[in-house]
Amino acid sequence: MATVTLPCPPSASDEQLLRCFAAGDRGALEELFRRYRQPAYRVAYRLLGNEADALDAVQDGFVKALTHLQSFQGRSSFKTWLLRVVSNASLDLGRQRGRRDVLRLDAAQNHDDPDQSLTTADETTRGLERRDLRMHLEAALARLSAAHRQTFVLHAEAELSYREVADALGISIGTVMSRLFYARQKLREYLSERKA
Amino acid sequence: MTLDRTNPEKPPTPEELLAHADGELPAAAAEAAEAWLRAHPAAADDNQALHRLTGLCRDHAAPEPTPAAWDRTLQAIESRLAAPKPLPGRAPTLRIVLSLVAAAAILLLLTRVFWPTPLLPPPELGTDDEEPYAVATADEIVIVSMDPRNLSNLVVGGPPVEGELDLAEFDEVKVLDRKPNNDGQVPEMHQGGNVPMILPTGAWGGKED
Repeated sequence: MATVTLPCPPSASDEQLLRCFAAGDRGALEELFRRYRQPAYRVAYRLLGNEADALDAVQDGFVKALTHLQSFQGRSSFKTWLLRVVSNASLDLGRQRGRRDVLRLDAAQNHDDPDQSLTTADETTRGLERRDLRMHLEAALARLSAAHRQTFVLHAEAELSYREVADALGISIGTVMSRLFYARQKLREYLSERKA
Repeated sequence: MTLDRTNPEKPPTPEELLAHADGELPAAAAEAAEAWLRAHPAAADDNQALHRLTGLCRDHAAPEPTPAAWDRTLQAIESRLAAPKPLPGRAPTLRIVLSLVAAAAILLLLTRVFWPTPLLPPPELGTDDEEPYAVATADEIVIVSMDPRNLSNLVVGGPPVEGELDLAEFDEVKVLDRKPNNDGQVPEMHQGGNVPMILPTGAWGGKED
């Protein structure tokens, strides 16, 4: 007798979606992707500095997270597990491709910036300021050590709590607290240097 | 979060204050931090300035990819996940490789047993062959806060520490190699009473006393 697997509803929990995915439900993967593509992309973008590499890291992260589910074992949430894998994939990719070069190129070629579609003079100025500040932020982030950058980005971009960051990186909350303090101190210092 | 507060009179550390601004402290610690910040407005402003960096980062988020770019990424994930697993036909190759490795290991073992080599004296300490015992790298050690009374002790490691600690004397520790961290700090060994102390010096400008 053939077994029929019912597709997971979009409102299913992550755990249900993962079970459906394991049973071959393509829709479950789509739903997981839709749910977490944005935080994953934001983390990857901040660690890599350009869209193409960030999407590659998201792709790598989803593939690795879903093919190594046995390492996940439900010890943290799927989101935390995925963001851990995506951030590690981003750092690996950054090391391979040389993040600083990528940042310079991106600054020159960033044509798809939504800020540029603004029409009034004020908005254009504001848009340019926004883009300028984002580039300064990215350059400042690039100067942090990988550990501090990864910790800060998981907290700031993916909005993970200290506990979730600790789970994602396998470190203590005290270490998260210390890294987040140090990272922001350094960011402020680097941003002030640029302003001066 | 549970913070070890053995001394309730101790002011909150800058890390704790920032954790408070992030909304990460439990109620009692948050209350203590809030009271301290009210009494120290300059520190409160500084703390808020640091906290705002997180918001600044979120406000200047990455430009959103187009729907087409998302679709391409999802398709790439699907095709990679659907890629066939290594074929069973490869297993014999793996078996052959493993057999060869096992045969080589047995041959090496037999050679060592039946072809005795003269005993070599153990390498002397301090020679180039000696591999330094890597305790930890600079960014693996984070001391969040420390009671001033404990500043003369070097605390490294995580609980539980079982059994009695056997601490080294100053002349029993030998520094083989030192590398600066990202801030240019270099570890220096000093004698603190009878115990060795490792302190950072260099760009940080730590005291050498």
